[in-house]
Amino acid sequence: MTSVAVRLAETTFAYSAGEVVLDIAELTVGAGEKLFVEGPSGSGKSTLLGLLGGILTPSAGTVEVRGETVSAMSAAARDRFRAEHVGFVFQMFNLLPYLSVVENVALPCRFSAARAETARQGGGSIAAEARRLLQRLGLDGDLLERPATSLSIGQQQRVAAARALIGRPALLVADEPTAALDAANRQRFAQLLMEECDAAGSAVVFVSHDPALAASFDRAVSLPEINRAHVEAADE
Amino acid sequence: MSERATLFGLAWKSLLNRRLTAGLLVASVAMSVMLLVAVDRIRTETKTSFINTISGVDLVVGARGGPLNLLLYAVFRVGDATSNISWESYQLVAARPEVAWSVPLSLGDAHRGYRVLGTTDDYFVHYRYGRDRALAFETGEPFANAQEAVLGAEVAATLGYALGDGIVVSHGIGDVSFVHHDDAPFTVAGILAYTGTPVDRTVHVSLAGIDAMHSEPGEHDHGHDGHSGEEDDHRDGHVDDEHDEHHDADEHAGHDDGDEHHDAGEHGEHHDAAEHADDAEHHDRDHDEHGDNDEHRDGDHDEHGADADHDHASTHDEHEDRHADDHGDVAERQPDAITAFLVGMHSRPLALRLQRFVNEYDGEPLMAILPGATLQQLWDLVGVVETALITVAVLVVAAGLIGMTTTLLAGLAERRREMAVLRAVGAGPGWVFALLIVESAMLAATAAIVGVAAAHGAMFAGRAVLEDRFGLALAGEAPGLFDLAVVVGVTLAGALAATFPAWRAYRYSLADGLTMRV
Repeated sequence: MTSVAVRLAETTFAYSAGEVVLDIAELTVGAGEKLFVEGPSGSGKSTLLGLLGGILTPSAGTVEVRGETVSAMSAAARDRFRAEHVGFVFQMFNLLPYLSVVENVALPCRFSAARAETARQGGGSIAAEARRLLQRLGLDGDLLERPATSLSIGQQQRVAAARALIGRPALLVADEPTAALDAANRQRFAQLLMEECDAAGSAVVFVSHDPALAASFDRAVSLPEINRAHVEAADE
Repeated sequence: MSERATLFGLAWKSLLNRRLTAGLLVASVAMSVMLLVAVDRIRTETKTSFINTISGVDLVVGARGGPLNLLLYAVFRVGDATSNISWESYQLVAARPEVAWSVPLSLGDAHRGYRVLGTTDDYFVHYRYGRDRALAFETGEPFANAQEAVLGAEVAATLGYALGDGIVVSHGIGDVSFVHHDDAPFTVAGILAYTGTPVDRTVHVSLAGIDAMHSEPGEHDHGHDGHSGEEDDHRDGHVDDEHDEHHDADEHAGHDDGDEHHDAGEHGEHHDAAEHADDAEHHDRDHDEHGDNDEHRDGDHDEHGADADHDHASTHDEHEDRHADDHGDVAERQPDAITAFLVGMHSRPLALRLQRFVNEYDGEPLMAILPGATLQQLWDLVGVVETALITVAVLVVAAGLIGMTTTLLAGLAERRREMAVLRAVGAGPGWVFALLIVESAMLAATAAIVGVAAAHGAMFAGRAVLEDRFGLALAGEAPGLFDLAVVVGVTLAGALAATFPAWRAYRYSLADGLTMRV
């Protein structure tokens, strides 16, 4: 692993209409570094996340994650790369309703042998590692075997965090994971997430429009400031 | 866990999560599969049953004509014989050493729309249908004399007859016949069990019963006023008269030999009466001569003509006496002619030899058919229906699968979040495509298995009724290759049907990416 988790260089993205929605000269996240990206709606946030996850490929420039140029990979390779090295936490609806809490957490291990192996080394088995992570995030007991949808929003977000972190991916990308939480839970959730990312050694790109959370992070940037496209159109 | 195992595991859990929708889809497709399996089984079993409408009979012999026609009137009681065959010819064939048994059949009358069959009680011994099933008596026993009748199950059930009831036979085969043999009622001596064959729709009486019916003097009172003076001399002619009432004038053309044509009516009947009396004499000299033209009942009239030698001036009372003599001795009286007869051989291969003998018989134009082969021929004619049935059943399955696809498609929009989550944890769009295909195939496979099981369960549950009532041994075989083919075929069709929803999901997952579109 290189010392750099993410590097964007002269990266632009335009939808087929030709309108450039993202144009970033340079953005680097060090290994294990926790970056807060302040990004209101319409600032190119979803595009940035899509580029980091390898769902989107830049129109120009490169996207490197963990030293590998994701933007040059084939679609299938990007899917594999995402499974291996990137964990996602969304604003809401993170969980598959037909899986139990533990099964939801273990889901990435079904798509990545490497993360499955890492999880097994950490907890003895994938399920044990999932329980360990959930416990660290304050979830235990009979909650774990219940259908994911029976949990509260706050609990669901913590399950999503555990899922993003299982198997210690190099990068955790969070897309306003606290938006659905009340103020008290936001701070607590962000705190827990940081602790676990530290424990997992994962770098974090945490996008939020709530600057109050920035204090927990190593560094903060404002997406509208680094995005030279300055798009107004809502892209989410 | 491998991605492939994940695919099946997730598809299954996803379906379970939507168990109400999935259950209804399975139910609808399962029902269509059940129909398909049942139709196929009924189709093959109906064919077997049809081809075994009469089994254990090696040859059916009748007057020369079309084999199908012979089969139709002798076995299915449909249509009429072109002519009769003489008792002598029957005796000659029946006496052949390779013949194990033979049963004469005399047709041409009806009881309230059901055909009346004159035969011997050997009929109940030798007749076989289906897989070597003998006729069974639901109640009663074979006719013991000329006044007793044995009813097929349907006749008894439809007309509400019980043992001991009296029935009146109409001359001719129509439901509404103008001539009823009111004076020769029969008593129900037995009722047969259901066979699912034309036997159910037949009234069986002895040959003597048929004979007695036609020689009743009283019958002339029906529609033949004014003939009484000729009664004794022209009994045969009068009987033919009645036939002429039911048949078109073409017959007259055959008999008239250039005489002026008369439409059916009082006047014409008078003429015919005389002419047929002449015919009767011709018959005595040369039976064959009129074989093709004469209405088939002529043979029986010849019999009466023979009777006339010693019974000519008999009064009604004397008839009664004769009937009394018949009691307990049905086989003794020998008619001059019958319509057809069934033959059983000592050894089946000999049937071909006897068939050739019959077909080349000089005395009279006869024809022998192998019932199995001719039944097969007949089935090929009506077999279009089976193709139509199975086509409909296949289309119903297709409709079920299309319904399933529609539901999957409609539910797709709600599942875009699920697709996004799967994409986020590393699933490619191809994987999402496969997930939809696998789900559909699982639904279809489940439905197919449930449908096949339900069809066999239903056929097993209803086996008694189906077998007794319709002669269909549906539960006879365990699920077989066809059922396996149905399960595999429906599963593949289910997978195929899902390609469109799966393609849509693929497009969604490409367009949506990780975006949570609610």
